[in-house]
Amino acid sequence: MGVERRAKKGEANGLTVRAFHSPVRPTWCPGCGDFGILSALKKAFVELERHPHEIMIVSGIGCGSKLPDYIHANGFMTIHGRPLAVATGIALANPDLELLVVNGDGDAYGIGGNHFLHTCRRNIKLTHIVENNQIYALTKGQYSPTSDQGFQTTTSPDGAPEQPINPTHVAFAAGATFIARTFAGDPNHMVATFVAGMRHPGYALIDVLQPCVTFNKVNTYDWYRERLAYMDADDGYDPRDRVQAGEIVQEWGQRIPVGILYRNDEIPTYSERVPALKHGPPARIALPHLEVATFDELKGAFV
Amino acid sequence: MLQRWQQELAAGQEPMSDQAFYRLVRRHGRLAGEDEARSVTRQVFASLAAGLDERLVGRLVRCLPPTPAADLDHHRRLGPAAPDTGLDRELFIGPLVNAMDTVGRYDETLGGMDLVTAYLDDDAAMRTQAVFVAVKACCGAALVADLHEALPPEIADWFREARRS
Repeated sequence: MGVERRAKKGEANGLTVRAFHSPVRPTWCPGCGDFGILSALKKAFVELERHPHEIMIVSGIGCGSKLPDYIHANGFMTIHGRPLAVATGIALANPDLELLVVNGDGDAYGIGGNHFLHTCRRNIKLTHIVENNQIYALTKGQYSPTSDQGFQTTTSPDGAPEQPINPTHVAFAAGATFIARTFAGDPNHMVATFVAGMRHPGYALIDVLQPCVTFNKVNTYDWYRERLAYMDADDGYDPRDRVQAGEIVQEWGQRIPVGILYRNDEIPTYSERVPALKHGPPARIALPHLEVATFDELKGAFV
Repeated sequence: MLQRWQQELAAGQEPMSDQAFYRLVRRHGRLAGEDEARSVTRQVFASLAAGLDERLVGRLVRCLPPTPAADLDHHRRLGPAAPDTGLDRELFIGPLVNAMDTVGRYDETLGGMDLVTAYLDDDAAMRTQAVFVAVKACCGAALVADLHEALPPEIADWFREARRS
């Protein structure tokens, strides 16, 4: 079940965050929450002893979706809103990869909203990190699906008229099996949450509250810090209790719960339920009868 | 070696006032007024509280003038129980940049706002150091050394180089 690890524990010894350093310098604004997410992600890989070649990061379009450029690992930058669809194909074809989707709130919950719902209910084995800054930042400041009602931007000069999406609530309703929220200003908490998400045997949504230092002057580092409620520190809270979780995932406003809000490790993944994959994923199936000429002919059909 | 002003302080001078503290921040950060100096101080304190041990923050609170002390204490209560070892330069300046003027006029091509954040890196460093100048002016040499030791590497460099002009 879940991802098979090629690297044995001993082989990963000596792995450090340096292994994930990319020569490409981030073009994010100084102080952007995405820096913290990138740094925490590298540390999470080290903690899980995952080497760069074992990792695949799929992204969409947006500030946060530039992340695969800034980390030494396999990356796939797709079109706007489609990384979950592409990642689904990767998950089915090669479950040995540590598969992540990293995108912003607009890409994940707006343009890619349809894929988000269906990935939740299918329980595809991947970790979905959403850099939720409650604004479209790469296009320089328009309100997004998670912007609070009344939020003023260039496209909502009188304030955003509609109710925002609460992604943890939507994911819960759509059948996600791991739902967490963390904060880009709290690196240690991010690392622990990313590690837990990657260990989960199914789809893991991790909504990261990520201040946009340039265009969002409402949902700032201070704003979040004053509202965060760490559910991991609450002994009375059990994320496996669906009734408790059902209430917590809806909370937003004066109190914002962070930590693992809901989890159910018992639901089979999509791959485990698809009959066509019962003999294993394509990446593990040998092609003994494929002659070079046949291969060339096949290849020619696509050229 | 203690600088002259530190020696004077150690010799029993009057504790620094709020106004004197913010005047230092304002002058070294090239800020418009006391309100801005207080805002900058608050943001830098938010990051200090996240990155330093709670007891060290408590020692610092006791050295500061009343208003900065109350602001730092407020952030100490909001911050993590243990120092966040993942705090780096970008995360440290995040709250500060979040409070700075980061956009200009309406953009003429895409309907967004012109962002000026790309140029704010040096400003953020200068403002952080301005707060450090005022903080160092309130602390004894032992606390200055302990703070320098405890800060993340690049921030520790800024702290070391923050000097009263």
